[in-house]
Amino acid sequence: MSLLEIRDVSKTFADTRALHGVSFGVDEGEIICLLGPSGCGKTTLLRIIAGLETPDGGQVLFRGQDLGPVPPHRRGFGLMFQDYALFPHRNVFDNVAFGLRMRKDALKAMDLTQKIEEQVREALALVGLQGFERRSVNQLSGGEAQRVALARSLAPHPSLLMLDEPLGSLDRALRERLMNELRDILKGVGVTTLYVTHDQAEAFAIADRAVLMNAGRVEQVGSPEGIYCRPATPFVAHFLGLTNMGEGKVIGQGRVASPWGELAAITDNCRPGDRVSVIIRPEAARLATDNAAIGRPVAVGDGCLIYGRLVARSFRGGRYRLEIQPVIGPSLTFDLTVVGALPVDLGDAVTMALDPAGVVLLPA
Amino acid sequence: MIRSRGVVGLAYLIPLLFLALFFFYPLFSILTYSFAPEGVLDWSGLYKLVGSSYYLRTLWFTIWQAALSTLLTVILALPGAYVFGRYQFRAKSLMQALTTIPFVLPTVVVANAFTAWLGPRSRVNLALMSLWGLERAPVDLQHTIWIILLAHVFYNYAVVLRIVGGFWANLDHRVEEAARTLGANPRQVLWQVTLPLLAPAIGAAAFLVFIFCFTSFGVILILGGPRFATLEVEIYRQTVNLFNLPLAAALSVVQIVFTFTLLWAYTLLQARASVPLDLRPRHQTQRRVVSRRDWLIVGSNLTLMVILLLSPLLALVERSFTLGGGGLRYYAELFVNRRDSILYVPPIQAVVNSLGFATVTVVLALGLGLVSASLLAQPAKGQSLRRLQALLDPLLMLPLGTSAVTLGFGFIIALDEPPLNLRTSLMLVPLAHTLVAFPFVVRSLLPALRGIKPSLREAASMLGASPLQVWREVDFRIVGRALFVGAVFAFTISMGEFGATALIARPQTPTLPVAIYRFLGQPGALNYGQALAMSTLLMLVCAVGMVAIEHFRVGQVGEF
Repeated sequence: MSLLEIRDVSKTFADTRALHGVSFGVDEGEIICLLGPSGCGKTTLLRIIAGLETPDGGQVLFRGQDLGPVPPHRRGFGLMFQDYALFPHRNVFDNVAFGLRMRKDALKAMDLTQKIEEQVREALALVGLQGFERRSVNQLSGGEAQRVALARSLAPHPSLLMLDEPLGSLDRALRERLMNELRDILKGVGVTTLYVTHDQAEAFAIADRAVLMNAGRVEQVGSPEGIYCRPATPFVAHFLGLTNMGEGKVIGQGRVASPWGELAAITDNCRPGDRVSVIIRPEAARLATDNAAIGRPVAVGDGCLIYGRLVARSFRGGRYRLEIQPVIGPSLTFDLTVVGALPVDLGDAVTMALDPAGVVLLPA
Repeated sequence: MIRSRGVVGLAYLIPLLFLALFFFYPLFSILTYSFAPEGVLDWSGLYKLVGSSYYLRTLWFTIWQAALSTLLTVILALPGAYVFGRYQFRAKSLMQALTTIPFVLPTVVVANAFTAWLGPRSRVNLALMSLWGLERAPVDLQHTIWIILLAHVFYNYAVVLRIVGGFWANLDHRVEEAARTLGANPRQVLWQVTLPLLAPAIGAAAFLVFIFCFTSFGVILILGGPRFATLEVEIYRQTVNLFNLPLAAALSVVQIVFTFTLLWAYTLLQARASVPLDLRPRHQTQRRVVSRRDWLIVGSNLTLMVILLLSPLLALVERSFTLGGGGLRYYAELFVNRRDSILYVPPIQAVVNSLGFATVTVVLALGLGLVSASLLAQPAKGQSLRRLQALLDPLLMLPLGTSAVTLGFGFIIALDEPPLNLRTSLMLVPLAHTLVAFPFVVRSLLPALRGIKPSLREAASMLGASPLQVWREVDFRIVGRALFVGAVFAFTISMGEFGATALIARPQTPTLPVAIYRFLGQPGALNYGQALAMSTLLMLVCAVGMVAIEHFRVGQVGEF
C-alpha cells in the first residue's frame, strides 16, 4: 500500500474546475514530481494534500488514514512555498526553529532549548548554511533564502515534504546546481517528497517518478525515462518538447507512413493498419550531408533519410537547434551535438539521417 | 477544525459584548430618556428637525467643512508622511512625539493657543503692524471659516502623518525601483505605483480625519463663534443651553445614521482596496538625508510642521509665562489651595489621574483592538463570515461618529443603577476613553494585518502551529509597529478626551483637561493664567508619555 494515496480528488474554484478526479499513490521514501504547465492544478493538489484547501470530492489518505478531518498543523507535513514565506520578523535560526518549537510537546526532551539548537544546526548544516544562524532573512540572497526555507521545512522531520516550485525564482546556473544538490539532500534524509514544477529538466533531474498533469487531470505517471521514451498522449509529447509530431499509419513490420514520407520505426506495440501519432525525437537525427564532419560514417537504412533545407538555427552551447523544412511534410526541429562549427549554412540543402529508435509511435 | 471555529466565534463576542454594554446600552438609555421623558413618546423634536431648513443647512455645513478640512490635511501631511516614512534623521523621534501633541490637546486649550498665536494682540500681528505701520491687525481670522480649517489641520495633521508615514516606512521600495526601470518618471511612479499602494493607509487616515471634523465640537463652538454650527455643536446647544432633549436626541440620531452609513461604505471600500504587500523592515526602506534635494525635502516639511503645529503651542507656553508679567507665578499658584475648597485637587494629582486612566485605556483598547482587527483581517472563506466582517467593521467605528456629549449623558443615565452600577467605579472614565480609542487601534492595525502575505500564515500552520499559535507567532509579531502606533493613539486620546470625561469624571478625580476647564470657568487673570500653565503641563506630560512609548519597544516587536 502506498504511503500517500490520492483518490479521485476534485476541486472547483468559483467557476473553473481545477482538478478532475485525480488519483495516484506515493511510496515511502519516493520523490514524486507533479509536472505540468502553469494552471494545470498541481499547486492546488499540493495545497489540498497540505490541508490548506478542502477538496470538493475524493480523499487523501496517509498510511491508510483519511486526512479529511485533520487540520494542516496536525498533519505533520512540511511545505516549502514558492516565495519561501520566510518570517521577515525572525532571523535564520528562529525561522528554522519555528516548526520545532510548535511541536515541542512531541519532543519531550528535558533540555528542550539544547535539543532545538542541535536540530537547527543539523538542518542548516544539511543545506550548507553553517554560521548563518543570526542573519536576518531579509539580507539573504535568493539561493540562501531557498536553503533556509528548505532547512525550515526539513527541521521538524516531516513525514511528507512538499515543495512548490522551489527553484522557480532562481537564476539558471544556480538552479542547475541546486537541482542535483536538492536530490542528494532529499535522498540523504530519505524523506518522502512531492515536488511541484513546470520545468521538465528540473522534474527529470530530481524525481523518482513524475506525475504529468494537464487541465486538472493526470496525463501520465511514470519514471522520467519511461515518460520521455513512451509519452502516453500527444499532450505529454508536446509538453516534453517533442514537437515533431504528425498523424500516421503503420504499414508493416518496422514501417510507418508519416507526413514526412515512409519512415523506419519500431512497431513492436502496433499492428499494420493501426492509426498512430508519429513523433520524431529531436535528438534522433544526424547530418548526413557531410559524413566527415561528424567524424563517423552514417549507415543509412531504407526510410531513414529526410531531405530538406535549413531554415533556422540557434546555438545552444555545445549543441545546435536546427529547423529543417523537408521536401515533404511540415518543418522539423532537431538538436545536434557538434564538435566545432556547424558545417551547413542557412538555406543549404541538408540530409538528415534518422535513428529508427528515435521514431516513436503513439496509438492515436 | 470545529474547535478552532469555536474559538473564533468566542473572539467575536469580546468586541460585540463590549460595544453592547458600553455603547449601545447607554446610547439606547439616553435616547429613550430623551424621546420619552415621561414614558410617553414625544416626536416633536423630529418634527421640528424635518420642518426646518436651518437644520438642513447645519448638516450641509457639517459635511462641506469636514470634506474641505480633510482635503487640506491630507495634502499638507502627505509630504510629511513621506519624510517620516522614507528618511532617517536625528530629530525624527522628537518631531514624531511633538507633532502628536496637538492631537491630544483639549479644544479649549487649542482655542487659547490660536488666540495667543494669531489673535489681534498676538506677537505675529503686533510685529506685522509695526513692520507695515498698520492701525489694525492684518491677520484677523477670529470667527471665520479659515480659523476652523486651520484648527482642523492642526488637530489632524498627526493622524495622517502617523498612519500613512508608518505604512510608507514598511512599503517595499523595490516596487518603486522596478517601476523606475520600466521607464516611469518620478511623477508616474508616484501616481501609478506609490499612491495606489498607499491608498488603504491614506483612505484610513483621511476617513478618520473626516469623522473628527464631522463631529467637531470645541473648535467650531469657540473659534468659529455663533455664526457656525455643526451637528455636534447643535446637540450641545440644545442639550445644555436650551435643555431641549428631544431635539438633541433627534439630532444625535441623524448624526449616528449619517456616520454609520459613511463608515459602512468606507469599510467595504477599504477591505476591497488593500492588497497583500511584501512589507520590508524599515532599515531597508529608509535612507539618510544626504543630497541637497534630501535636505530641501526634509527641511521644508519640518519647517511646515514647526510653523503649523508648534507655533501655536509655543505661543501658549510663552503666554503662560508672560501673561500679566507672570514668570512662574501661575505655576506656583497651581499648588496653592486658595479657595480652601474640599474639591481642590493639586495639579500633580490630576496628572496622576490622567496617567492612570490613560494606562488602563491603552491596555483595554489594545486588547480589544487586537482581537477585533485580527478578526476583521482574517481571510474570509465563507459568505457568512464575510457578512459578519462587513457588519463588525463599521460597528466598531460607530463610537467615533457619536456625539461625546450624548454618550456622556448616556453613561450617567445607564450605568448608575443595577444591573451595571459603575457610578462610583474608577473604571467609568477608562471605559469611555476605550470606546473612543479602540477604533483607532483597529484602524492602525488593519492595513498591517491585511498586508501580511497569506503564505506566511500557511507556512506557520504547516510547521505545526495551531490557529491560535499562528496568530500569536505571525500576526501579532509582524504588526508590532502598528500596535505601537495604536498604543500612542489610545494613550493620547485618553489624555486629551474632554467632552465625555467632563460629564462622567468624579469631582475628586478630575483629569488634566477637566482641571483646566475648571480654571477657565473661574473669572480673572489668575485663573486664566493657571489654565495656561496647566495646559502647558498637559502638553509636557503627553510629550513625555509619547517619547516613553517610543522607547518602550522590546526586542523584535516594533521592528516591523
